[in-house]
Amino acid sequence: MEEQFKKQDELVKNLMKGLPLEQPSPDFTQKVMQQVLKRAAQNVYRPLISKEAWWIIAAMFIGGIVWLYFNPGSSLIPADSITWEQDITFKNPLDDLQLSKTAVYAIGFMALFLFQIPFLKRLMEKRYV
Amino acid sequence: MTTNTDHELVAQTLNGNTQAFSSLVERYQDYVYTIAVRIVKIREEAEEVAQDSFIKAFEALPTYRGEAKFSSWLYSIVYRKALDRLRKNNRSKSLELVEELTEGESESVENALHFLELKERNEILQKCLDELPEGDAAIISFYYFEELSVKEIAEITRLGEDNIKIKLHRSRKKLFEMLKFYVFPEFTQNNGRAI
Repeated sequence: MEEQFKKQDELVKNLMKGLPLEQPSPDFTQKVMQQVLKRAAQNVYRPLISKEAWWIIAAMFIGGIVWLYFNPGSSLIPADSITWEQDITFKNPLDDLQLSKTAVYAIGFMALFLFQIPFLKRLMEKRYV
Repeated sequence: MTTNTDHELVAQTLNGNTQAFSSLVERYQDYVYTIAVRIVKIREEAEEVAQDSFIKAFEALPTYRGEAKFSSWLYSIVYRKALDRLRKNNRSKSLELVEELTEGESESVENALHFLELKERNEILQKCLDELPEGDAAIISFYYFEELSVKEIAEITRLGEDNIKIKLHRSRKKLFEMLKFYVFPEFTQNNGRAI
């Protein structure tokens, strides 16, 4: 039995080794690369704030500092237009909120559920790579 | 001209040199396509699967950590893409249990195959592989054609090593039964279609 198993194993190996590799169409690489280049172009990183915008922001900031250095004590906004004496009191709108035990559990479970999302996402990504 | 290793080409691709990826495609296209053909059985579909696999590999390249061989990592993508395609088209074969061939029968199949021309032998084997369930055809190819270890195949297919061994054993048995059918049709025809 063992010998027959070995023989079959050897024969299948020899048969399979004799099989030629299948060949795709001649322009296969070209077709793949066309798609790949398209995707590579799509995936180029574009920052939210462009380089030019950063230069303008930097220039305004430095300009502001320089302006303040040469004009100490002056202000673009007249200082007396701002009054601090106004009575500002905040009232927490959630102060009177009463939650039942069930609602607290529901919020707790919801938080747990949201907490799981990144772990599940990583698991799925691992599975479908 | 020096040839770059797979890892060098992967690193170059990740640095933005897409031409390096084209070398990887050229290097592995026949292997990837062969696996796809063995699983989906239809050449046109297999070509699409092979293309999709390379595109997926390009997109997922940043996640390739270089622990496994690049070829194994690539095969795991083709294997899943091909099975997905079959699932989408609702086509899948199941393996019917077959009787064990007797030692005499096994030997006569071997002798008969020995006298066939290589081309004819390959044609018969190709037909038999087409009859095997898709996953099993892939496992047989990985093991005998690509000469991957059971451990490597388990990693590619995400099946247990014992499961792979069982599948290999059953597929080999099935393959022999089918070879018998093609080599000695007169023995197997009297009880209807044996396979």
